[in-house]
Amino acid sequence: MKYLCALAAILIALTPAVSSAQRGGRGGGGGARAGGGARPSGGGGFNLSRDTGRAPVTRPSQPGSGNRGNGNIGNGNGNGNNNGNRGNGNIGNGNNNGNRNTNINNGNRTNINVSGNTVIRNPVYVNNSAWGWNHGVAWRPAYGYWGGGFWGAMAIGVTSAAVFGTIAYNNRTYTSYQVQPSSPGATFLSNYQLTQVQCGPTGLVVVYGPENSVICANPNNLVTAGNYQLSTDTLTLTSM
Amino acid sequence: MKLPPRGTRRALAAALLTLVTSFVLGLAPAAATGTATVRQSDGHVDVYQNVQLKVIHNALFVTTADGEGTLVIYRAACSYQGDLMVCFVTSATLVQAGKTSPLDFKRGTAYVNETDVPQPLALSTTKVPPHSIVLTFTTVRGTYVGITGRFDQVVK
Repeated sequence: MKYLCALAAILIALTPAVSSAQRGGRGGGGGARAGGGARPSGGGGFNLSRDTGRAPVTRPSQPGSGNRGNGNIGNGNGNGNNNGNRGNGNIGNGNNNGNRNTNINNGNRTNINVSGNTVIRNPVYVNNSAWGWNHGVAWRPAYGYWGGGFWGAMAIGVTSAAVFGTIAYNNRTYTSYQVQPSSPGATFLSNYQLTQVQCGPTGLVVVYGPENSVICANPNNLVTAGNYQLSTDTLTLTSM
Repeated sequence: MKLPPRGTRRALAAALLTLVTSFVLGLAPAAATGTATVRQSDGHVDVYQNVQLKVIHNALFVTTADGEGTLVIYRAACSYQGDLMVCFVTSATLVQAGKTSPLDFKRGTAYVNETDVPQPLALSTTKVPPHSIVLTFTTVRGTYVGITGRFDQVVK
């Protein structure tokens, strides 16, 4: 009998601990207040009340960008797509490659490729499957980073230390920055065996990436000098 | 009624106790083991142990052990560095005291290890444990939030 009593006592002692763990253990889970200060909001939960209250950050319009999407400029895949018309300038008309392309812009909604562009398929991910370079995970740009973060964790408005020249196009100046190691952009450069150089001189490979970003590289046996649009899903280049 | 010998009774009781304890503990879910650190710009630090980490689609839900506060953290620009997925944190929302309040988010990065083995961070000796996350972000007013731990639930 005394064993049964002991067992019952142990069970009673265990039960609150278990239910506490299920609820998250209020007693021990509130957090160690290392600073010792009083909680401004009182009660449980996170001490972050002073970090709320501002209006949500809205994404500013990007002058001149006109939905320069990923890889939809003049390469025939822009039909019915609201993305892909880079501003009103319609890249492909009057480009550096001698007007090889004619894009018909229908109210900034349709981008028709009439004469075709040169597509340089990724030499590493040859099956051209979408996001094959990223373990099949779709890459989406993150607001607040240059190129949406494609070229690395470079915040918009970064210091001039990482500036890698500028490109003037359609009355707009694009600033280029140094591609960060281990970034998707670094993967792209590696795939095409390209080496990034300062933008500005002529005779370079000029790659327009996501979110109005641009980088430059020396031409090689895979990519000749010229302007290209980078498609982030397949990491293919399309001449502009 | 004649009782069994004392040694037998002790062994029986011990076995019963072990059985019941295992049963009771077995009913409890695995305890959350995440840790969240909130460092205010004035140096004040709050450390939250045993936070629950759930990934539901593209959002990370971080709930305090008392269940009274949840941070919902959204990510984007996820790319792989080896087998480690690196994402930029794009926003964070505090769900607490009956209110949903967007944080004055600045920027942050999340390192996600979905594999069964520890994965090293680039240019670092730090390793992210299996099925775990290392995440940091800052707010506009300079508050630093760091979250580490193993996922309690992942819904893709």
